[in-house]
Amino acid sequence: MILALLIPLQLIAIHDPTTKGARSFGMGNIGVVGTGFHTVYNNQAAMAYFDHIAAGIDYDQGFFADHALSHQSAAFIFPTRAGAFGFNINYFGYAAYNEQKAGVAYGKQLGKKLALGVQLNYFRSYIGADYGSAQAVSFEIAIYSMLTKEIELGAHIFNPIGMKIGQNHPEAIPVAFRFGLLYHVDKNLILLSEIEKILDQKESYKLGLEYQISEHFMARTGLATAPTLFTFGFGLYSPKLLLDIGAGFHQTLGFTPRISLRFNIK
Amino acid sequence: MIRPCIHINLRAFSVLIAFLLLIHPDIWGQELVIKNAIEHLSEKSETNFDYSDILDEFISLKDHPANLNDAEETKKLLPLFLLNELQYQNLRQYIDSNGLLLSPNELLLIDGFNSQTITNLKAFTTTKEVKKRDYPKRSNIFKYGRHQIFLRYQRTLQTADGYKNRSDSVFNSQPNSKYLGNADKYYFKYQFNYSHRIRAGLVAEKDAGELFFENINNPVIDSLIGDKITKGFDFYAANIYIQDIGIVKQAVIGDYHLLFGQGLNMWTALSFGKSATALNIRKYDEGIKPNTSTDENKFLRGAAVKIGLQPWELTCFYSKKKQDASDFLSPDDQETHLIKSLNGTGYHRTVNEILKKSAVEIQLLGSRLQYTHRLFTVGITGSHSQLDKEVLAQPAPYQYYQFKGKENTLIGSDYSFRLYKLHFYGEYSYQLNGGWAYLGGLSAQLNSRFALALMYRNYQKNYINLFGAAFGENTQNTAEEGFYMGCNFLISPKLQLNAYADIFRFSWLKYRIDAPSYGSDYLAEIHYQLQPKTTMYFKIRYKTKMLNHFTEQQAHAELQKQEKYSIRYHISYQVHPQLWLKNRIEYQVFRTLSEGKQGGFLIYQDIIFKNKKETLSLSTRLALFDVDDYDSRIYAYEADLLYVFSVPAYYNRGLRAYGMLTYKISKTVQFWIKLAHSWYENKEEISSGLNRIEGSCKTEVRCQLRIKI
Repeated sequence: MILALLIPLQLIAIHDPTTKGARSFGMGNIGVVGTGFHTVYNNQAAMAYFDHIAAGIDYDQGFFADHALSHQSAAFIFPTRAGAFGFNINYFGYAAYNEQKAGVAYGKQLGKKLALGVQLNYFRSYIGADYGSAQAVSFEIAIYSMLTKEIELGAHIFNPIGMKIGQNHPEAIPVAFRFGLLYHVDKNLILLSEIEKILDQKESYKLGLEYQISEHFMARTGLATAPTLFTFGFGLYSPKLLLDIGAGFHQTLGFTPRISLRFNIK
Repeated sequence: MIRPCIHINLRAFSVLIAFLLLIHPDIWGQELVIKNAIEHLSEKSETNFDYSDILDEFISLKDHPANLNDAEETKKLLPLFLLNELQYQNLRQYIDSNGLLLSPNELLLIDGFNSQTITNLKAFTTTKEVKKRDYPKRSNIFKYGRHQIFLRYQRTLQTADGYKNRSDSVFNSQPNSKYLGNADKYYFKYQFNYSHRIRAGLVAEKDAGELFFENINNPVIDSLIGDKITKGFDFYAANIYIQDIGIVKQAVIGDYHLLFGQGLNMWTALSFGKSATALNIRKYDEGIKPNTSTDENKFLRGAAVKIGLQPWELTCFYSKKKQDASDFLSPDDQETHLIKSLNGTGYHRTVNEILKKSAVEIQLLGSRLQYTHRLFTVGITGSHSQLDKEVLAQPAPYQYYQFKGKENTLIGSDYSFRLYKLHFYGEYSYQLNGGWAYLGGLSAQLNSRFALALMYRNYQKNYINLFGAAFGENTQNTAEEGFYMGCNFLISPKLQLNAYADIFRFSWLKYRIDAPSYGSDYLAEIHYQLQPKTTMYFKIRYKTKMLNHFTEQQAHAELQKQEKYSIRYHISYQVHPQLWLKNRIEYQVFRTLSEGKQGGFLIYQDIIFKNKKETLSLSTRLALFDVDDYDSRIYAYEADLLYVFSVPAYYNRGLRAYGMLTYKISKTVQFWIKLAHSWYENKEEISSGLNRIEGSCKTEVRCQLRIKI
């Protein structure tokens, strides 16, 4: 049981390379494929296909009904002719213990089929008054290809240099690789899959789908292994304001929600 | 313990396929669907069920094809999985806007139909004008009615320990050391049909080891069970059933089943759960169904009627039936009878089993009201069951929430509606002074090539229903919460993927699981149609559950994960107009941390021959198996006599062969005979207890005669 409790903590601690955003969560927590605003967190290369100036906030409650263990993020994307720039900040924890992460991202298309992306990260952990804080810097690299009209592929590596955080007892920032495939069945339906391997954890397999019911309404569902998770969600889209809600069901921990709100500035 | 298997119910879908195989050898797809479902069910419940009721539906439909232009008749195709919800809706819309269908081939113009569906439908449907239903004339009933008689005989040739003679002194001191009857199994069935609207039937059965007309010449035994013994068959079921006569939609007197909503409130027939046909998890309300199966405990006995006045339908039912149970006298007064468990195997071969026979009487009373609108359907069901003896609470912690007392009252409702392309359905059930249970699902054809099914269920641990059989991993709908997701994806016209994932958790202990636990079940099957008559599939399945594990240091068990995965390749192909071949290779592994890995392997060859006139067919199989352990056993469907279903579990090491011959002597008489032989290389005795057979061989013979007038 104690073990089971630790798993979700890993899920929500932000030094972990977890997928973010309610849209991804609704599709089995798949982030490495799919274009859209959440690419600013999950695949910076795919950000190159995003053509709005947009800002968004995300809230993830974790599996505990305690706000102190929630995870909050905010991000901003600014596309230019020279590629898309993105910024994101993430906060997890409470006054006596917290983790923070800030990233600057850049994604650029190279020809029609390929895009590359990179993100520089700054990590900070803070524990109680006597312990103080620790910092680290690392990066992530992403690649995205629009292989055919139907198929998109994405890959992403997080912290490839194996950076650690802290001086006396350094704690590893995980190294993670994700690879995914997206298939457009038709203009309303996409199927997605992803494999995620965090170096010191069991690999996770994920499947998901998104279905556009109407112009303003999306429905999603998906599942993931390790930890076994069943998710679903929906999106309410207007041209300026977009709301995504996702929910996950964990075998031992029950339900958890995630909410994302996005504003298209231009 | 209440053996959960009596509550596992199977649904109409499996028999269908087996039957199709017999009449239409070229319907490969459909045959597979049913076999898959039966195999899955047998694997889960470890019991061979009697699927006769479902098969009856197919036979009746074959004789009286459903008119596709008639909405009511077309609806009957849904529970048999000949049509899905979406196809049904599209068909109705097409007829509304384009007029009546002139030929079944016109279905090709309708969204959701392909040539495969139409081939499958052809044997069971017609396209006629819609006629107003009138009252059948009495003279016509007997003139055009059809009679059928089935006679069946089954026996294992080797003598098991239970049939060996005992000296009187041994028998007197150990009355349970012997089966009272002989090793023959007899079965008799009579059926009358007038179109599909009037049906009557009688089934009688004597299982191997049960008494028939013999006398017991032993005063000790006679004193124990003398009053419980009746001459003749051990089990009878009979009914008269009518349908679509005036405002009476359905009515039955005798033995019957009720199938309402999603099966949470009331579903007494077999019900299929998960299978390789990942989308088919929704149940279709069939109301009242006559019972013709030989499952001795799982049906209702009494009367039921469904009256319909559009858009309302009202069903009322009453049942009073004796059931097997272990009863004992109250320790307080030595007079009151109490029930330890409602255990029913249907076998009455030994003194103990006969003592359990019909030990408890259960009365059931209730009704259902349903309202049907073009866009939605809602129903309310209420039922009350009353036992004549009290069921006593059992001491084991896992039995804490099991049924106790003398009565149970349930009330609930079910719904279905459509929103865009999404079909929603669900059911809620509340037990008076107990818990509640809910099930909600969604099925959607999101694209002509991709369909999805989702289902959520949440059954409370203190919810008990003696007559439910909704979707679930547990055999009873209690103490379970889970999500199911299934999909069907037509990757290319010849390549199809079926897959599901089911994750679940149990909020209470179970037998051999001393804590709340969880598990998951994944399946993927890729189906490839190489040529019209050559199909193959590749199936993988992975399942985990928790189970007790005892270590020397600990007094109580801790749970450990058990994993089971299996890989199967199956091909069926036609090499000559009269010759079909099938092969299967299956590998299965069962693994726990403490016991390690146990493997199982099965390979078989089937040869099926049919003569040109299709009056004679021969079906044979040779299978080789090498299975380490009972936990890694492999199930495989076998061809069998009409109305017999066998899905043997292969374990140990050896060979199994069978041959079955079917011969249609004339239009009225048909004959089946099957010989099956198993040989175990690593066993000197087979089975255990009274069923123990010395030696390494087991041979079974079965034959059946059908007379149709």
